[in-house]
Amino acid sequence: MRNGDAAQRLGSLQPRMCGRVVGLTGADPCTDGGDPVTERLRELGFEEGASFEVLHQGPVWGDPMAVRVDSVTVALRRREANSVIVNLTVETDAVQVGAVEAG
Amino acid sequence: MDVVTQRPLRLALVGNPNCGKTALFNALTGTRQKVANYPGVTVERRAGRVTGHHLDAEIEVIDLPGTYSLRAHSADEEVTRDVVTGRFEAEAPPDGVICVVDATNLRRHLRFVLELKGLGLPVVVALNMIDLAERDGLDIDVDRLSHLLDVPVVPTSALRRRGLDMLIGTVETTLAKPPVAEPSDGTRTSASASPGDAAPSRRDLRALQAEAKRIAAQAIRAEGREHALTRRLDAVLLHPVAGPVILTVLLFLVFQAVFSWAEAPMNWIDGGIVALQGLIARTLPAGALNDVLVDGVLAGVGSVVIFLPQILILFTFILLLEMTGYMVRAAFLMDRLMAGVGLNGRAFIPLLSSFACAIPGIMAARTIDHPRDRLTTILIAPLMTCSARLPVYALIIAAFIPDRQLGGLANLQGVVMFGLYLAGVVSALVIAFILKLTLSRGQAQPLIMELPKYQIPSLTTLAIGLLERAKIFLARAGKVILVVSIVLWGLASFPGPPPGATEPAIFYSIAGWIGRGLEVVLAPIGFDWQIATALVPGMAAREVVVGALGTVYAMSGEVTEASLAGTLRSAWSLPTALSFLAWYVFAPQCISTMAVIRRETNSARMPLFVAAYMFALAYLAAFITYRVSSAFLGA
Repeated sequence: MRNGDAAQRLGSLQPRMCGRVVGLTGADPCTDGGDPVTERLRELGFEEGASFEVLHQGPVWGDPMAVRVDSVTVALRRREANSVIVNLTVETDAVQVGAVEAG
Repeated sequence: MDVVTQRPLRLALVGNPNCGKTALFNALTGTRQKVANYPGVTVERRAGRVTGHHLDAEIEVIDLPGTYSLRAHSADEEVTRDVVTGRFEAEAPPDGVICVVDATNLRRHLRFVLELKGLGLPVVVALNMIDLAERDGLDIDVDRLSHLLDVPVVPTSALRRRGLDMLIGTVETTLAKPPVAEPSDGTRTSASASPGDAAPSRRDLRALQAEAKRIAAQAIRAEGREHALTRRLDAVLLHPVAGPVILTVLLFLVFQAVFSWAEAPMNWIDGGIVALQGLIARTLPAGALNDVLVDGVLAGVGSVVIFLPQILILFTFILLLEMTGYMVRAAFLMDRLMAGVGLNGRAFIPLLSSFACAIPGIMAARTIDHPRDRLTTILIAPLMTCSARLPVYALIIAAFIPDRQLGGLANLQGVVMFGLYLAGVVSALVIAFILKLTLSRGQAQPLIMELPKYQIPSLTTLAIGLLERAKIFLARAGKVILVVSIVLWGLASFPGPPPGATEPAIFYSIAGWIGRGLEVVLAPIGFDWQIATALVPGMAAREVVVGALGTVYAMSGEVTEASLAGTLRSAWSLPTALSFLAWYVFAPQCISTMAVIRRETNSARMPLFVAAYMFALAYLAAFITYRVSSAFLGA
């Protein structure tokens, strides 16, 4: 994995955290990581380099979570989110980051 | 293609979910649509007609289920894939495809355009929701986009009816041109590619995705601002505390509205039917025809038609929640609770649709990818309080529950109604949990779904949806209930009473015989032979029991009041009424639901299983209700 140090799993993040997608881990790396979950995640825009922000989490145990990835908002359970490996943007105030991206 | 052949042009409307495809379809075709089912699969076939722009000929437009890609994951996505690739037997391949693309979400939606282009069919892109894109400051170079994609692109807005004529005109021009000999990638020769060839491989998909991204980057002149309103609304509506509170209050208000708003129109319908009965009774000569019209047809059909206003109000709310994008948020909020009983948040949508009717609800379960989750959803969907129960609940509540305000906030009748709905939901969750522990053990299934932007609902789509529901409801009242009412009238009239009879005529009739036979079983839950008699035709559909009760009591000579509610009030005890309500929370009194379960699960055992567990629950619930309330109320 590139950026091994800072890489985290999306499923472990909290609202307002943001950064970029580094990769997806599938069930079987030989088949292009192609289990149905990663395939669907890819279809919805979770791909290498996509910017994301955790927006909301569910009322019970913070699950599922709502994540903005590029211009789309996707709801997914933390379990599935764990297939997405991400790099966090350096800790900044999330509101400020949002403003910069929108501008 | 030869224009002279006069076969109408056939266009398939395809696109990602949430691209405004259905709204565009409705804007194009208006009420000129036909809804049916594809044979063999239970996917709705929605087709409509639109008059051509250049050629004065009709064009048939088929609205295919939304899909993210031709790599289908679910049954309706497979239909879309098979129709556009010409592999679907029940549907000839379309002459061309309109691919609806959300302008505010270009990058992702363009990938699907590229997939379609690879099929070799003529494609026209409808750059939909262009008004929203412009409002958000997004600027797309349409000509450049068209050039890069090498297909015509027409900006449209279904809501504002923009670009519709131009879209049709462009399609006609495109189809009039001689077909492009080679599809873009040059490998497939025609739409009749061999199976497996049509869907792109994962590697293709990633390549297409990269290309879509490149095209989008070149065609977008200015990136828009983020949809700030959606974000702000979600901050409240998906808030861990406020969100569930708002959802509960919202559902509660819906049921209050169903009760209070419908009151006036229901009174008009009631008055109209009573007047009609009076008119027929006076003008026609007394005799069998007079009786069958007044006691059979009008009493039966009339007591069901009266619930049309309530059903339309309920559907208005469900359709609005769907169109605005709130329904998906509700699924988000409910997901964790649903996961606890082995369902996923996606099941919330079929289950919520089942509040309207279990049949579309069970069919909507197709969107659940995983077979086991889908089966569980199908098995519990009939426990959701469908609109056919509404007439039954409404009748009994109006007759037995006092119309009293509780603390100035809620109405007792509304509270009881809400409680009945809640009973259905809670029991469904319990059953799902039991199924999870027994029948359908296994791993939790994933939930991945898009949360679309909030949208202003399209009134056209709302109106078309309501019209469709009203038609279905009235057709049922007209056919099933009419026939059942007449047959029941016949069974209840013959044979006539023996000389010197002490009981009403119906007591001695065939219907009376059946009712008295069932009474043996049903007496412990407080049902007399008249109720038992009405339950039999009530197997056809739940609301039929209202008409049947109307007929049975009209013929028992126990009509002491103008309305059926008044008659029941004098004939039943309160525990019987409550027991009847409890019975209807669970009883599987709907043949159509059983038929659709059979078709969807492709198993004759499943509907039997559902019927058995629901009857068992109904009997148990009614028994407990009757015994407990009798003990407290001293019936």
